[in-house]
Amino acid sequence: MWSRFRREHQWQIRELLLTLNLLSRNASAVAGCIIVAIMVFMAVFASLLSPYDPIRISLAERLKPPSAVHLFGTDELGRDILSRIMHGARISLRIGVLVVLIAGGLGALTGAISGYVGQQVDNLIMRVMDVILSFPPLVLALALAAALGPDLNNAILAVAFVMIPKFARLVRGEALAVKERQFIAAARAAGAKRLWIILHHILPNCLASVIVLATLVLGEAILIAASLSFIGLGAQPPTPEWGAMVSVGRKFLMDQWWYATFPGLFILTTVIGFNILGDAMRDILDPRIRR
Amino acid sequence: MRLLNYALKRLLYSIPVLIGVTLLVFIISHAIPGDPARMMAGQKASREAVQNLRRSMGLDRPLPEQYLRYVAGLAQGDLGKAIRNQRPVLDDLKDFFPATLELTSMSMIFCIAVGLPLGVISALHRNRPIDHTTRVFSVVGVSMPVFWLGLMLLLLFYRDLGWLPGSGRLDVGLSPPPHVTGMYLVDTLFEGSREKFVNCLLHILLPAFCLSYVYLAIITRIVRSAMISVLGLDYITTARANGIREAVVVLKHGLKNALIPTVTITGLSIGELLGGAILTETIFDWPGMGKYVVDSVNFLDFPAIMGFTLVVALIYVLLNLAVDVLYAFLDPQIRY
Repeated sequence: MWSRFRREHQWQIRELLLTLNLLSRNASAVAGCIIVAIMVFMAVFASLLSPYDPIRISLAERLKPPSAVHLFGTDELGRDILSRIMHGARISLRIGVLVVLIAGGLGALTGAISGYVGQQVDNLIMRVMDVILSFPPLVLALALAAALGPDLNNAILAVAFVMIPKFARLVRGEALAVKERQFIAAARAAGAKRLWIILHHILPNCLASVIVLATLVLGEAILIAASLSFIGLGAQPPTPEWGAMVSVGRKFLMDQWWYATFPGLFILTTVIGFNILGDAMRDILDPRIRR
Repeated sequence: MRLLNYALKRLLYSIPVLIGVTLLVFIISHAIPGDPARMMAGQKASREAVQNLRRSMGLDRPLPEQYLRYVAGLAQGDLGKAIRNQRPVLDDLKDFFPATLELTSMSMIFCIAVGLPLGVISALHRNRPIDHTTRVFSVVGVSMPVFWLGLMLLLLFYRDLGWLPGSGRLDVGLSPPPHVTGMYLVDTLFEGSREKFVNCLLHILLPAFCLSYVYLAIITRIVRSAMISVLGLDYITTARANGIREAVVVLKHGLKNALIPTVTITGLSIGELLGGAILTETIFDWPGMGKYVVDSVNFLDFPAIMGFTLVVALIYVLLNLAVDVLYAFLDPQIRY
């Protein structure tokens, strides 16, 4: 079965191997991969790795500075900040992945429909996207999250909504190019329905650029969701979300510097990881600037 | 004349977008929360009080009618009343706008004053250490949680070094300048008080830098890539071959043309700065619209939040329009 799969998909496999090869020779791609891998590892094994329970309160240990016992110190309820950061990786990555799945799925589908069907449908969909793009992302996400109510899942929905146009515009552009190719005409001549063509021909052909955009959006989504949590609209206590931790740590900034510093450092590092990986992938996957 | 035509056409084109913007804000504020009247009245209000409020707000009417009333209200500058203080939201926003305008303008000055030279230098020293440093600087910039950067700046410059004040627009002991524009930097000049002007300047440095860092990173990258592509063109080689001094080639022939894409991104950044201002103003206790909206979030003051959202979107759309017209003015090849 494997050999048959290999025969049928030999071009895709070659392309994938070439891409991986180019990625491994690109220093910033490797750096991005390592950062992302560490965060994923931390998220998956948070319960095993973290030295303490992230939500257990121990008032005797409150606001202790970084030491060998508590590497990043403790918070105002005596919880170990390192353990909370490790569990926070789970939350941040879940936010990023969910936003990308929702926004990427909806955005790619509407974009493909817009580009392939064209005319009135295209016009309508793109004007709706223009309207969404008429708001600074954080402002619209804030308004939506506030209307839906302060809760992590609502914040995820709000951020996903704001990200839809990015995917829709990208896929629309690609769909416009793909739809002129001959195999689409062949499929249509063979009697394929519009939706079938969109799902089986248009979308798979946009996959590479959607993956690149998804990597970049993942970082941005983590950033905006953390900002919402910082304002008080995302994760609620005692959830160990990084943005929410910085928000509480702010009250102790002048005397307990470590509280706000470390969670924020992890937000920054994670987003850098996704951004440089995404940038490197874009350079490699775009044949015009492939070196 | 053709430019004027274009500007008018572009203005007409933004009308449907503006209608869409009001529709989206209307949907968010009227359709998504379970019951706006209940939210206005507060959790403790009796059922009758909520009913009365619903009727007086017109929430028992069909949605399309509510939307038309909402737009009619907007046309008269009615953004609703803030729940907190029962003042019209527009009046509140007017009070807080100058502080935000002052902060974003200062950030924009930072962005251009630092981003432009940095981009040019990186382009001239492509793939050398200074270019790599700038690249790292910009990647960190676009990945930076603004609220965390603000806190770190406070730790360093306020707590440890004690160089700059940590919050507000003026020292507590000083009285605010008489209101002319509402922007303290300008008003203190009118007042003629040097001491206050310097004090204001010291107060604005940290928040303005914090707010500008992300866009500084973006502008640096855009200038760099625009400069690289312009400097590779034939007319630059010709200019050099004619023996024109390198500085003139770079600044007059090169930068002038590289500025066109920079204008677009700068214009769009001003809109984005309004988003970043939400976080920066909260960190530095800067009494602008951003801090106002975060305070409103804590009170679940929906009319205030939605009023802010709408006003920012309007500013954003108008800025886009201005940038497009400016773009057409700068580059005569572009006429849509």
